[in-house]
Amino acid sequence: MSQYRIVVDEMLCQGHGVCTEECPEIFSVEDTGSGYPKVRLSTDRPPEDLLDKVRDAVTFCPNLTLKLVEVD
Amino acid sequence: MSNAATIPFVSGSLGPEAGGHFQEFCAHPAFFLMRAYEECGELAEFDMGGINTVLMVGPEAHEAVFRVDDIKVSAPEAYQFMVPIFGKGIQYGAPLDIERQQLRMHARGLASEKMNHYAPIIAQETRDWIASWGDTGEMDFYEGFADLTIKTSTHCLLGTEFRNTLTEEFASLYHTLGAAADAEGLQDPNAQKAAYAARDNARFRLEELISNHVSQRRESGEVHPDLLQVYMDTTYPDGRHLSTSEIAGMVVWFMFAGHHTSANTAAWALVELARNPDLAPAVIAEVDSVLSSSDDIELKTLRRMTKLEGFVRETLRVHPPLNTLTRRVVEDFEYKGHIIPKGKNVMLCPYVAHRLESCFEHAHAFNPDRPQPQNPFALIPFGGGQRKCVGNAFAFLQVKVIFSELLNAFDFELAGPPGEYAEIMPSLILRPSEPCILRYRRRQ
Repeated sequence: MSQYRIVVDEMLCQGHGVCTEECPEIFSVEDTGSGYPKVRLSTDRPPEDLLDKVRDAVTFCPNLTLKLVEVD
Repeated sequence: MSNAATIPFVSGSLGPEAGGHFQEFCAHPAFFLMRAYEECGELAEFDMGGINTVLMVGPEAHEAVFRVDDIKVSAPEAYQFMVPIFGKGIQYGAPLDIERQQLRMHARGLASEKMNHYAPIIAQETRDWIASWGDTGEMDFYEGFADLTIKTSTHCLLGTEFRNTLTEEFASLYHTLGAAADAEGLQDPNAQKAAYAARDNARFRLEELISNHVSQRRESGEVHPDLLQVYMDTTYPDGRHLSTSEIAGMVVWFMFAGHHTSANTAAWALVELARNPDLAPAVIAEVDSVLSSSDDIELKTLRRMTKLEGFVRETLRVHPPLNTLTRRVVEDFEYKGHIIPKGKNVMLCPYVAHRLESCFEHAHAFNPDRPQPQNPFALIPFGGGQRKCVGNAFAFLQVKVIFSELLNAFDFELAGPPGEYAEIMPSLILRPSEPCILRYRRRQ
């Protein structure tokens, strides 16, 4: 189990899909039927081997929607 | 709360009979709002010709506005002056649920996977442009980028066949629309004046042109990977397609939001590159290394061009194109013990926000290496929250692709003294003063 957790501020998300391109194993974008599409996570606890890709997704999100926080 | 703290009122009002601060505001909105902030601080109230408006400054204040329910603090109520430009039934001229559907459609056409189609188009348009330059010369780059981005925008938006038949008429009609988006319209967008009559005629003719194009594509049965196709194919939840008139409105909306804003940002970025010659080599080296390995830049690579990204971001910090983000208070709005009563406007100003020392150390300095603020409400060139400009990623893509092609082929320097390139606001968009001439020289 990873000691990191992905935190999403959904209000900031416009569904650009950068995270999906960087790490499709974790991130997808869902058409919510109204307004902007929103990011969805397959898990908020990314496995160790995906951490680098998750970090890229966090870094390149144009809206700073995602955070990767350390869990105690 | 009966003891609501008083919000300071900006000095220099001409009084309610003479429009309050409206005249000074219209002369240069960004400079006026900067003065208001310097005098009053985080909250500053002024009289916009009969509408009392509260300027709110700083990440906390921005967040409060971006997070509050749209029904309580409303953008559509404040932006009715855009309705004659975009058209009835579109964006602020449509009910909120319809507008949200339309935003959803824009978002679909601007998603990351679509960008992979747009990037090579923008690169090719830029290469075609610079192919005619010769080895050295001077050019007005404000005009140059306005021309280029009308080509790139229409090409990505409306497809190759429309772009190839792009006439002077389209650009001229579009220009007429833009000229009518002035500060006076904030008071009465339907005032009897020549510019507004011309605007309405131009809007009508643009709709004809776009409608013809849509009809031709429908008849041809062809499917294209552009935004127009998304507008033609996407449906409302009840299965209804956008009408031809709505499609025309979506096109005008997209062009309006993304054309001059991107052109100005490109012009400012080139001016800053030329007047900061010590900052240029790092950006050029990054561009060269990317373009030496591939003719077409992939989106994933583009994202990782951090020097260029930082340069564009810093350009947007120092010279944000849009500086009067306005909302109408529909239900009393409380912020830090202050009550802003219904009927007033609140306004956010990126130009002011981006000059806060508390968010940007040495804010007066152009520093493309400064870290991106981690607070999403500090740097707001595209607004924020549920109404953040959906084209923000496209804008970065566009300017980065254009710059990659330009810097790979040419060096640039100022043709006039550095102070000559001033920030002016003849409309609601901050732009470089005319003429914006730079000298270019083909790299060896």
